[in-house]
Amino acid sequence: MDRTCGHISRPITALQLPSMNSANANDLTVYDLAQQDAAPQPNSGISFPPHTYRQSDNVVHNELGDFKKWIKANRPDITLAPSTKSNKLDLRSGDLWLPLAVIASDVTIPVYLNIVSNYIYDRLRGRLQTDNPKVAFKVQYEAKGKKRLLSFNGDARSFQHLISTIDINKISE
Amino acid sequence: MSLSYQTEKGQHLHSEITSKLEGRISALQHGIPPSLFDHIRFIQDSTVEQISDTDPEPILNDRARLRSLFRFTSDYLEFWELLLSKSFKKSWGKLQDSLDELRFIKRHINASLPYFEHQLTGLELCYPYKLFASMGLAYGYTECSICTNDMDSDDCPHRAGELYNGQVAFGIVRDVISLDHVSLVTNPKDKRCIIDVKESAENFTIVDTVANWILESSITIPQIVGCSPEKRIIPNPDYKNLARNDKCFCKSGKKFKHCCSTKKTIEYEHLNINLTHPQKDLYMTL
Repeated sequence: MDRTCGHISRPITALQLPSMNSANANDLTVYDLAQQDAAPQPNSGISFPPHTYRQSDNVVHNELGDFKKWIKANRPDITLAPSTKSNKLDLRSGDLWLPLAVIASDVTIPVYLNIVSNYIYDRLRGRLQTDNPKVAFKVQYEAKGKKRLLSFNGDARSFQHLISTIDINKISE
Repeated sequence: MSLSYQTEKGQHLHSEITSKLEGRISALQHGIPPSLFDHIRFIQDSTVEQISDTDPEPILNDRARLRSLFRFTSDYLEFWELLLSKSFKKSWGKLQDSLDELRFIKRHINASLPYFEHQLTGLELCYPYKLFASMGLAYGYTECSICTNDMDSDDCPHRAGELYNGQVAFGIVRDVISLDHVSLVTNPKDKRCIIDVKESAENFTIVDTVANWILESSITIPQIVGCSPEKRIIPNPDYKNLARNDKCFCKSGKKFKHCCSTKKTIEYEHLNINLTHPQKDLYMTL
């Protein structure tokens, strides 16, 4: 369990999005987080706090390094909090596991979703038509003084449709 | 769609090489002539390998791109060679090598090879491998293959999978802390991590049939343009039309009306091997 998912209260938004292969729905869920369960928010930009995965403490997904390099190259305007020394977690599946992110108030949730969308597009270059990877990510943000956690787990290819499909205002409120 | 070569030389060599390779592959019939590998090697030596290691980075990167065309061609031919010699397990490995090269070509040359992609991904469906082993592990850091620094640190400017001075950067896992778990998944990072099955014809019925068709000259290799699974409905061979209150024929102990009365037909997965007419173009747009 991620630290930020340890004691989640009720989900406030759960959207079932149509899947590209119709085998599974894409899950996008927004949760309210209790203050004590939330990871510390950076003053600006994005931080990627380590978390616990099964038996492994203080780990970050191994995709983090590449994701940060991509953000630095493509969104140099966004501050990235320096990473603490953490071990890497490699889930050797063909799916894309993005690290848990915590965004400050200067990075809105639409901006972060856009970053994720463009990164996924970049990572999918070279995939074959039959490659159908899933993507999973979580982002903690603050809306109207409340800490929230947005969690997505679904088709990577259809993720690009996500931003145009969902009501961004609904999850930003 | 424009190709991703960084130099005019790379672009020019691409056209020259692909037309030569296309000629060789489209001439395949019912097997792989042993001399073909020598011909391919000759084409590579007389074109790409003329580029020197001391050339500037854009040319070296283009050489890496062009080399992938040869790697793909060799893997593709070896795959067919292994399949036709009924080494099914090994042919699966070469099939995965070929698909990985297609991904490289797509990513780094921006070239789509739909004929090969459809043929090979279709043939993938003909194998019995549907579940794969995938491990989860925690480790200390990833060493960069180019600069040997921690790939996630600011000291390393390289991204895994990208080309630098003609080399593809990749990460080497260092300081493994724990092997957390092994999962059975349908979408692994590496489809070579198979759950082994005995290499007998009955486990490889479909690929065995394809190999036999080619060996018996019923079809040629270039004729296979893909495979498409579909669901078919056939009469249930076990079905017996009993009285509604009779015990069901399936020996479940239930009454027929509460059990298999609706199972007059059954649905099964059927795999079509799609062939093109021998005279038709092969769509080999390398």
